[in-house]
Amino acid sequence: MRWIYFLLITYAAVLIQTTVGQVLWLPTPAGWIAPVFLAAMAVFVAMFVRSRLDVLLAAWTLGMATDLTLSGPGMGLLALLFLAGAWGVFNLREAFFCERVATQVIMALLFCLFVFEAWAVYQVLLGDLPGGQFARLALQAAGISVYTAALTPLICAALRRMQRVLLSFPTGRGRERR
Amino acid sequence: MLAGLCLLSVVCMVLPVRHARWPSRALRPALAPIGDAGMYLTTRMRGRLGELTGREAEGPEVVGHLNHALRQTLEQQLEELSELRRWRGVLGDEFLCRLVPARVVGVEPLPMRDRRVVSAGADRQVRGGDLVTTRRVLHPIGVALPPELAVLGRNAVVGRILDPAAHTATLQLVTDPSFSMPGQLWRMVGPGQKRTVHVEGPRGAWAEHTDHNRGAVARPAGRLVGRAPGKFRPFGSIPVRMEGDGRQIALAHVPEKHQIAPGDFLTTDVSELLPFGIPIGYVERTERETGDAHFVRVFVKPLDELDSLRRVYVIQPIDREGK
Repeated sequence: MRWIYFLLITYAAVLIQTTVGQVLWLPTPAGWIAPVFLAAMAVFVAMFVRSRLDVLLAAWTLGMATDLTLSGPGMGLLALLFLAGAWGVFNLREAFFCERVATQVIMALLFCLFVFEAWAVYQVLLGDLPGGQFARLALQAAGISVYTAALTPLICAALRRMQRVLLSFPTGRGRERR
Repeated sequence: MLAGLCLLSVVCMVLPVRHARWPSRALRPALAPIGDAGMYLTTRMRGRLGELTGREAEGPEVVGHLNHALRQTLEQQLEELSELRRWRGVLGDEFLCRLVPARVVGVEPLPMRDRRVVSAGADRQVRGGDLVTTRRVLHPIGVALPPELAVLGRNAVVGRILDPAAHTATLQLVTDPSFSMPGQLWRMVGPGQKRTVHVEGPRGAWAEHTDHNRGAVARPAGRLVGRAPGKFRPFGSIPVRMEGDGRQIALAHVPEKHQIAPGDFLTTDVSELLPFGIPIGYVERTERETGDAHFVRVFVKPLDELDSLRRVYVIQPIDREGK
């Protein structure tokens, strides 16, 4: 993993997410839904980086970057959830063809559902989000997950083009370096 | 190393928000300057998209209607001006608050919270709890305004400040799920309308009260377009507690006997700083509560398009300056 380039891309992703990313927000009966680019990046890293340690460090960094742009209590939770989600995707990836669009969509959906539903539950338990709206928030988190999963293949394709800059040793089936 | 990072995350989670969020506040100056340009692009694109999808249509008919509305609004504003002079008499020679201009420079990445980052922070004495407004001016887009024209606009509250940093602050919108604030709901009687509501008397007894607003109804070209022209008359207010629900503002447990109807107005509560309510939104619909038929849930639509907010003003006490 080339960390300087990775951090620069993360910074650019945070900027896009917190500004022009709003153009992609969609109104739904459950509230606004938006794609989370940093989550899609975490899925890409978990699927295409060879070293387990690099995957976990990168996922933690992406989670912390998302956390830093939020307000309210529970800072640090997304970093842990991204890390756990990326670990799950990393373990599952050997069973699938990572280059396939369907695999990327399914992996991103599982990752986002785990991360955003867990985040919503924690915020409700903390009392920062109202418990009375939990059903709507869970539905909204599911909407965000589906939207992010739908755009993940595009983000993966864009990041694959930068693979040589981003990754020292691109992955392939059965080429994991522990 | 990984264990150390996990431990750091857990420590951040258990620390109080004030201490845990300092890295977040420290990072904002690195994002705000570029974010400003990004938000400019976003609001322009959303505005253009709105025009294309007909949300802000500017056809000749609409411009004609706006010209007609402008004439009526001018008359209405002259009346409001005399009302403001009266308020100035109440407030004394000095105004108690001032408006600090700011721009929206970022949004939160997870839309489960409806919050923005604004470009005014502790350096401009902005503090948590300060109300944030926008100014609305009725003006056809094709007509150029002369420079330095004094424009009489209308303020609308869009949220309040939460967690101010050195040069930026988090703006919690009125639709944020954790937004909660007392307010006043004004029952309105439109021009040419008659309305009967129950009003609480001095001894707590409820009595029927009818108001007939005989003001002229605006009918440009023989038809009613919108509801801006004409003078709506307030018909007494009731105290309510407003809460955001992610899409609009919800008012729970409003007694059914108040007969709230679409078009009624929600304003902020009266305080020492603001001895009058600032508009927030208007009632879109009401729903009978499932548990108790004597209460209704009222849904209020904010006056401003919150998804394309750009320029905002923080209301702050004038005596805070320099402290």
